[in-house]
Amino acid sequence: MTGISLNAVSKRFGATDVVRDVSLDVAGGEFVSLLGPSGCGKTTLLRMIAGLETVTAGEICMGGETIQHLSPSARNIAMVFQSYALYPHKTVFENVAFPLLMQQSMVLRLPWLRHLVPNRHRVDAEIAARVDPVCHLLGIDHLTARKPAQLSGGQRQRVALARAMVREPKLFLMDEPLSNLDAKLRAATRAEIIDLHRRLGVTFLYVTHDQGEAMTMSSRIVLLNEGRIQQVGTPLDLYNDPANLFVAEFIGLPKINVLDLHADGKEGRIDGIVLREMPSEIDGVPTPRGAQLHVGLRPEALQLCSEDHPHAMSGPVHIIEHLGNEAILRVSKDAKDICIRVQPEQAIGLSPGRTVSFRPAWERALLFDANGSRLRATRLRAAA
Amino acid sequence: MSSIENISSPPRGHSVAAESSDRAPILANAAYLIPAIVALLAFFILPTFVTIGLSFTDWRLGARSLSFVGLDNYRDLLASGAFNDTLWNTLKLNLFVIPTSFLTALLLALAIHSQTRLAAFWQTVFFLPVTSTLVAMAIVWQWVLHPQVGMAAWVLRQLGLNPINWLNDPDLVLYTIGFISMWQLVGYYMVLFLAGLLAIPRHLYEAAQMDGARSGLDRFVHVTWPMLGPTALFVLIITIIKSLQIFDVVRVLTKGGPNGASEIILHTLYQEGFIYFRTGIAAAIATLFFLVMLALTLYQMRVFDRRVHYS
Amino acid sequence: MRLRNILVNLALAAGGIVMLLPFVWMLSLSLKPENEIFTPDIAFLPREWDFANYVEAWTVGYAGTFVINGIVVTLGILVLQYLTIVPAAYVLARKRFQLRGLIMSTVLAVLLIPPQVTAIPVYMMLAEARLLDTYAALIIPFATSAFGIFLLRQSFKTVPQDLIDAARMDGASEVYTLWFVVVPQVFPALAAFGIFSVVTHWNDFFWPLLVVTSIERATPPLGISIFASSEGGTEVGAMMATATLIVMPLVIAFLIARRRFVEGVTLSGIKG
Repeated sequence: MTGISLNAVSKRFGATDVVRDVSLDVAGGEFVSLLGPSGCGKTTLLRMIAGLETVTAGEICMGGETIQHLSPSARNIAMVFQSYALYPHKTVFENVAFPLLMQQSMVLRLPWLRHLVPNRHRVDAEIAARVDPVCHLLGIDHLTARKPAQLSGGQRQRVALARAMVREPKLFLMDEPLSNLDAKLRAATRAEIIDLHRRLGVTFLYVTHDQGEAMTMSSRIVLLNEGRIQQVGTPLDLYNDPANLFVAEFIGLPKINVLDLHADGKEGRIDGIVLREMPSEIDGVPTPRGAQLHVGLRPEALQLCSEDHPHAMSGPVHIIEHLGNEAILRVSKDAKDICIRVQPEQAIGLSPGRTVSFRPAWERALLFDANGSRLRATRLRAAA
Repeated sequence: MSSIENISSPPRGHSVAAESSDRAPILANAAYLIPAIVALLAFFILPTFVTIGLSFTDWRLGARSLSFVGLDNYRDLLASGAFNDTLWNTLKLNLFVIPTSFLTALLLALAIHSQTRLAAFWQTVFFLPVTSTLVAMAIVWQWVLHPQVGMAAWVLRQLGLNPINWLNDPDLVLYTIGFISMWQLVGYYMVLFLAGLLAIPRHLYEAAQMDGARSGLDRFVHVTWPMLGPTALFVLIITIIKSLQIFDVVRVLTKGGPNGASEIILHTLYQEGFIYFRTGIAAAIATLFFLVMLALTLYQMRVFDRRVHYS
Repeated sequence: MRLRNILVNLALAAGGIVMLLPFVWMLSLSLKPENEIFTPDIAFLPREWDFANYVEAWTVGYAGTFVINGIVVTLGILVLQYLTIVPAAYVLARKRFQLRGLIMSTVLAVLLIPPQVTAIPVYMMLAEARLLDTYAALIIPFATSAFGIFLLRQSFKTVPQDLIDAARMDGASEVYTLWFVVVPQVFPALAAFGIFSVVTHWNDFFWPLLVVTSIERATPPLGISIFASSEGGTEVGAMMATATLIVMPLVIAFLIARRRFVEGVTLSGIKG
């Protein structure tokens, strides 16, 4: 099994840095997602690994050897495109067989002329012997005579997967392969890709902007923003232990609540609530009096309480989302929208406009400095 | 073919990766571009400059020497009665052909557009002459119009009239030539109009009907014509360009005769350049012709641009 | 409503008769023996069907030569044009390079040049190269078409980049990708341009008139014009048979592929 490692890879288009100084090690057989908002450089990164874009600086290695001077086809990497990129004029069989056909001699690759080659039948049989099992595995063997225009979205997706698989590549690149499917099909295909990964056992690099896909499918997530890696880790790492405010806000639905905290020496204040043992210095610099910090509280880190609780905050509910197994309350507070995840029965009887009181579970709060960097050393402790 | 073979097999192993997007090269894939560029320069761009250059000389085809004569060729041309007759004939021919074919094509398109079942049939019938070889069909027309044994003569006789010598009557010859040219091209203009008509959304007519535009004329004045405006302008310019380029019929049927009555600009250009070998004069005519066509084509491109934006 | 429809169709029929009349008369004359042609009475159908005119046009006349020359010249031009236009249009549509703007302007400038303007110098060039009166003189000046480059470039721009990338990932070379992956995607534009080119050059009279003098090299329009001026006065039947033979290939092709033809020929509207 071959992994891939990126060493300080950068990409510059004209005056814009699209990918900046990205280093990453992916072990053989891993399923790694490149996640991030649109324009974060994830697709460019994938295309550099594929060989479709040049690398401005840095190095890409596979199996210990640098590959960035190799042509895309020489890298033994397969790619599933967002649009599937099936050849519209070729049948499903011809589409899947195309990478194998390209490995044949010049004459055999040419339409019509290839009929002059005497060993054509043997070569064709060899190709068919590799195409047929792949088509069978993906359940498209009854479609091989059709053209892509005659297929449904899900079927096209399978053909694209089959075309990628037929070469038995060491690395699979997938560029948002589910974004053109409807919601129901997307969930089913997600499971199939996980299954496929397990069965093939090769390395998968998966680009997506959908955190749900990244969280459910991958063993590790690489979260990118503005061309830089924000954090690399397992889905739970990113959720529970985000490296910065961007990661905390990007991962998790509904979004994390962020409250402003005034640091005042050893104390901090949120809305009149006094917090003890604030960090006396950040990055070696003493915390100035009145410094702005950020506290991140996930919706489940807030709970309803009586209004006379010492740490109670309150505000009017304006939306109640009943989800069956839980309910989400959206409470307006100081022009912010606070999300609280509650038990379904707690939401019964509430109606929009009612003021509710809630308190944070301080032990689950995440603290960030004014620049959004995580302050891991500090646990918040409320004054009694 | 061998050049293609070469490009297609880059050295294996360390072949070129993606085209660098970091800095644009001077010429991407020179081998792809050079054949086209060389041909464009050799057969279009350079000859145009040479033609303009020759128009300031007294060169005769095949002569060993030439001398620069400035604007003499242009001055001689504009002073010569024969060339003024040519211009006058060209103008007369175009003033006949342009409005007639434009209006005929518009009426044909409107009539065919109003048909549902027979539209494709009529379109085929009227477009048929467009694809046919004009030179051959002009010769056929010559025999249709033959003053003794032609069909036109027969019709006139049935009506009790004297046969008309369509191609030998100095007063008629230009109109006969114009008619044959129109016969060939009216279907072409019609198809352009039809495309414009098809682009007018149905619901505009329905809305106009709801608003009380009952007669066909109402609909034409308030919906069809305004919506067809850009197409109409486009077709008009093409009509002018194509009409100015009439040559084949004249060359085959009259050679400018009788007595210069059908001598038009392109025929004069041909005669001067390739019969009398007065290359300098021919080049001057070509340059004048070029300037007119250039203005028209530039204007047409602008109109076309706009038409694309609207659709 | 019904009455008006009938009137419209009657008017169209009157016009249609004028459109079709020469075709009918051409066929009619081509099938008549000489004594039926030179008569003041009009009959569409010959009293006596006479295919001798066709035999004469083909054997004594040069109808076969004209048709073969027409095929050689139009196909020669078309193949050369495809070979030069396709790669150039592809590069201009999909690559970034410094001279692109200049080259595109050149292409657009050529669209402004009517063919009559370049005739004298191109004729001189061919005379200098001793190529007059050859197939080369008829074909080479049209080896590329600015209009074709312009048209195809528009089409190439619509081909998805993913498709080209996929072919590269699958191991296709750039030339292979262009001709066997990209070109099939723009088939309609290629076909339209092909029809435009063939119709234009099959019917072109001006250029062959300049560079060809011997009847053995004459293309269809030039051929029949030579026929008409040499013995057209006497051999009307054979001349009409020749006309039929050179007009029919395109007319039949048009009737078969009506929509593609209309599309291809009206393309020239952009060019003029």
